[in-house]
Amino acid sequence: MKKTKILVIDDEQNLRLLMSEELKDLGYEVETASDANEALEKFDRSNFDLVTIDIEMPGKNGIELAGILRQKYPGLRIVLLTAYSHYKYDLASWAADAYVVKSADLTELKDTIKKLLQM
Amino acid sequence: MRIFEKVTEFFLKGYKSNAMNDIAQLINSAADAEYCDILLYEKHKDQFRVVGTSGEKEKIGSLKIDSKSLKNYSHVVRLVYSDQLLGALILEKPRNLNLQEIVDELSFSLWWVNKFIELQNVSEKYHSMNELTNVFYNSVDKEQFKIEMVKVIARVLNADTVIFFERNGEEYVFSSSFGISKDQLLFERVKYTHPFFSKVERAEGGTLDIKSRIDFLDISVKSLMAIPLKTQERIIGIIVVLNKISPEGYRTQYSFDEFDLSILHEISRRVTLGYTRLEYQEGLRREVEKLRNYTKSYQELIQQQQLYLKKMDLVHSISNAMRASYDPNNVYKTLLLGLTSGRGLGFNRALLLIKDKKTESLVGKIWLGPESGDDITEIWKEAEKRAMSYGDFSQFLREEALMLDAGKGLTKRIEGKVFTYKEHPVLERVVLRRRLIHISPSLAKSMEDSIRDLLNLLEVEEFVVIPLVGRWDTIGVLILDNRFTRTPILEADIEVLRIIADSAGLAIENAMNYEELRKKTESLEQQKNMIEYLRKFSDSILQNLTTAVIVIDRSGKVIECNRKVEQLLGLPKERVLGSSYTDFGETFENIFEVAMKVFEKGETITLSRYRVETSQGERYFDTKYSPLWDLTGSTINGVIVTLDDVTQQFKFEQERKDKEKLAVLGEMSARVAHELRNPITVIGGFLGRLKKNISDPEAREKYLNILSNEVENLQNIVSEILEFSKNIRKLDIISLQLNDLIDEVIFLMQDKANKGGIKIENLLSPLPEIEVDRNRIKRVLINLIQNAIEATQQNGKIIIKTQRDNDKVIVSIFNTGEPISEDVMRGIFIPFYTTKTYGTGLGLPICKKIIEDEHGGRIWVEPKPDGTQFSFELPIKRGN
Repeated sequence: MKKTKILVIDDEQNLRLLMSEELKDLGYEVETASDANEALEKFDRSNFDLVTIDIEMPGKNGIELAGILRQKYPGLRIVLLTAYSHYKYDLASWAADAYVVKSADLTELKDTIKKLLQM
Repeated sequence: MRIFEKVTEFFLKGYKSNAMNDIAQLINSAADAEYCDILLYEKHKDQFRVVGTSGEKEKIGSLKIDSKSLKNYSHVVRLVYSDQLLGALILEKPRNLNLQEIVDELSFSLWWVNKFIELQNVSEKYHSMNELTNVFYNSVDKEQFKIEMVKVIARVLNADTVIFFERNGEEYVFSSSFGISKDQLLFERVKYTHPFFSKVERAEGGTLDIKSRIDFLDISVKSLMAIPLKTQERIIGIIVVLNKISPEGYRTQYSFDEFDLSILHEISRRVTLGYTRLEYQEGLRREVEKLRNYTKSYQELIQQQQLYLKKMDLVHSISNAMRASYDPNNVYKTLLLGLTSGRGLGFNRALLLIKDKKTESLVGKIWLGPESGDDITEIWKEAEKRAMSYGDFSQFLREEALMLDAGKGLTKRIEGKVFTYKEHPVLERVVLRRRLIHISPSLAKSMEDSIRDLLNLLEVEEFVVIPLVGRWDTIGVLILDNRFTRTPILEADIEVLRIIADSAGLAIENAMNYEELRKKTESLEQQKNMIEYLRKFSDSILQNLTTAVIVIDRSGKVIECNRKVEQLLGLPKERVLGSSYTDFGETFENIFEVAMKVFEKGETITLSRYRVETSQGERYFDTKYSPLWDLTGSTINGVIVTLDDVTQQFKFEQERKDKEKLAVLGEMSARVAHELRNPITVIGGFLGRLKKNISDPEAREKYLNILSNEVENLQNIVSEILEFSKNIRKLDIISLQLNDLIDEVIFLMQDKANKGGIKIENLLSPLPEIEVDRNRIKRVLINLIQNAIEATQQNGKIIIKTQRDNDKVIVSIFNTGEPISEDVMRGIFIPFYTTKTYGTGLGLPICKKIIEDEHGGRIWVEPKPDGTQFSFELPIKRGN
C-alpha cells in the first residue's frame, strides 16, 4: 500500500523538524517547505494527500496559499496552523479542512490529521 | 433924311453899297463941282480914307490921305459933329459952296451911326460877356470850361483864333484853342521865361499888337491880344487872341482895339474868377469826395472794428468754453467747434496736430469739418440751427463738444498720423519760432514743392497754420482753411486767430496739466489707499495671528509685537514696546536670547516644542527667529521672533501617542502570543520527543540543543517585549561626539558585514557634541546597521552619513538592498511587524522609542532609487 504523503509548510525550522518527526512516527511520508513558493514547487514534483500550513509566513501567507491549493487540488486535505486563535471560525470553513492553534501539545494536530485522512 | 439912311446903309453893307457914292453925287451936284470925294477919318491911323466919290470909283477904299496931305487939296470940308472929327469932303472946283446944311446932315449922320455901331458893339459884347458868365456857370469841370471859354472869347471878340496856355510849374502848356488845332502849334509847351510869355505875364491889362510876329504859330498876325489870367497868388495861364474877323459893313477900324482889349481884360477877370471857382469847386468836390471817402473808410473801419469786436467776443466765448473743461479732448473739440461753427469764426475746416515731445513731431488729433462739398449747406444749416438755439455761444460750444464724436470723418484721415516739423518750411517756423503763417494762394504757388505734403492733405490753395503756445512751449498746431466756400482769409481773421491761438494754447496746456495732475493724484490716492490697505491688512494679520510675533532690535529692545504677545506676557503693548527682552522674566529672557544669535549668524533659527512655564501653567512653543533685513538686504535691523503656541497640539500628540501605545499594546498582546506560541510549541513538542527518545543519545543531544536555542529565543522575546512596554526609563545623559560612537559601532559590525561581502562607507561631517544616553543611541545604531547588513545582498554597500542641521544632527544609513514596499514601510516601526524570519520584530519600534520618546528626535525611512535609507535626527541640546 502506498504511503500517505504529507507536506509541512512553516517558516520556523524547529517547528518543521518537530512536526515532520512526529508525523513520520505516525507512519506518514513527510516533506517540508519553508514558504509558499517552495511548497508549490514541491506540489509540481509530487502529489500530497495533506498539507499543514502556518498562516503567519513571510511572502504569501498561509491563507492565500491554502486558497491556491484548494483550487488546484480539490481532494487535498488542508490543515491551517496558527499561533492565534481568532482566525479559527472565520476561515477554516472555506479555505481549509481544519484549523489548528499551535500548542505545546501536538495531540490535537495529530488527531485532526488522522481524522481527515481516514475520511 | 436921305443922307442918314445912305450912311446907315454904307455902314451895314460896306463898299459894295453905292450909298456913299450917291451922297457924293448929291453933294457934287449941290456944289456944282467937277467931282466930290467923301473921306472918313480913321482915328487910330490918323488918316482919311475915301469911301465914296462922284468921280473915279477906283479910289474908293484904297485912297488914304493923312491929315497933312489933305491940306494940299483946294477945297476940303471937314466933317465935324460935337467936336469929333468924323471925316472930310474933297471938292474939285466947286462953284457953289453953300453946302452947310448938307454937310451938317452928313456929319450928324456919321456921328450918330458911329455912335450907334459903337453902342451896338458894346451892348453886343456885354451880352456875350453875359453868355460867358453862363458858360462859366454851366461848365461843371475845368476841361469843359477851358474849351467853352476859348469859344466864347472868340465870339465875343470876333477873333479868328483863341489859344489858352496854362501855367504848369515853370512852363506854359497848350490847354485849349479855338480856330486852330493843337497840331498847328509849333510847340506845345514853353518856359515861362519865353520873351512873349514873360512880357504878357507882366502886362496886367493885357497887350495889344497890330501886325506883330509870334514864334509858336505860323500864321500872319494882323492884330493880337494877350492877357494873363492872374489870381492874387498865381498865374493860371495866358489867353492869346488873334486876328479880328471883319464885319460886313464899313468900320473905321478892323484890328483889335483898346476897347477889345478892355473887353478881354474884363473877360480875363471873369475867366479867372470862373476858373478859380471851378478850381475851388473841383477842390471842394475833391474834398467832399475825400470826405466821402473818409466817411466810407471810417464806416468800413467801424464795420471792421465791429466785426473785430464780434470776433473778439467769439474768442472770449471760445476761450471761456475751453476753460470750462479740464479734459484735453473736450478742450480740443471746443476750440475746433468755435473755429468752424458758423456762429463762431466760420472756417470750413480746422485741423489740430499735437506736438509729441519725445519724437519731436506733430501727431494728428482731430480734424473737424465736412468731408466733401456735398450737402455741406445742409450740414451747416443744421449746425447753425443748433447753434442759434443757444443764447450763450459758450454754452453751445461746451454742450456741442461733449456730444461731438470727433473720431469720425476727417479725423480718420489724420488720426495718429505723424508730421515731422523739423526742417519743414512751414511747420518748423510755426512750432519752433511760434509764428502764425498765412499761406496765401500766391505763397502756396511759390512754395508748391516744399509744402507738397500739406497741399496734398488739405487740397486747398489758402490756409493758416497757427501755433498753440502754452506757457513755455508750443503745444500743437492748428490748420484752418475754407476748402468749400473758398472765402479768402482776411488780416482781421489772422489777428483774431493770433489771440485765440495764445488763449487756446494756455487752455489746452491747463487741461493737459490738469489731466496729468489728476492722473498723478489718482495714482497717488490709489497708492495711498493700497498702502493703507496693506498696512491695515498686514497689521490685522499681525494682530490676529495666533502666533505671537515680537521684533527685537540689535540693542535688545522690542520694536514691534502683536496682541498674542500682550496675552503671553500679560502686559499691554505700550509696556512691551521699547522694553528690553530681559524685562519679561527669566523664562522669556531665555527664549528671546536666541534672537541675539541671529544677529551674529544672519540665519533663521528654529526651535521646536520649546517648553515654557507661564502664569497659565506649562506651555509649549515652536519658535522661529528670523532676521529682519533692511531694504537693501545688507544689514539686519532686527529679529522677528515668532512663538507658536503648540501646547494644545503637543498635548494632543501626547494623548495620541498614549492611545497609540494602548492600541499597540492590544495588537501586541496578540502578536506576543504568536511570537511566544511558536517557541512554546517547539519547546513543548521537543520536550515530548526528548521524553520519547531519551535513550537515543544522538536524538537527546539534538533535542537539547534545539530546546536551549528556543528557550534563549523565548527569553530574548520576553525581555524585548518587557523593554518595549516599559515606560521611559531613566536616561544616563552625557555629552559625546556622535561620529566617534558611529565609528565604534561600525567596528563592531565589521565582521558581520565582511561575511556578506558588504562594504561600509562612512561620510561623517564634523558635529558638535550632543547630549544623549550613550548606550541607548549605540543600540539604535547597532540595530539599524544590523538591519542594513541583513537587507543588503552579497557585495552590496552601506553608506553612513552624518550632518548638522542648525540645532540638530542627522544620521542616515543607506543600503543597496532591495527597496522595501510602501506598505511595509508604513508599518515598519510598528512592533512585531517585521517580515524577517529572524529577530523579534521589535528592533525598529525600539529604535523609534529611543530616538523619539527618549531623546526628542525623529526617525524615518525613505526609499532611494537604488536602495533604502533609514535616518534619525537628534537635537544638539536636550530640551527640558
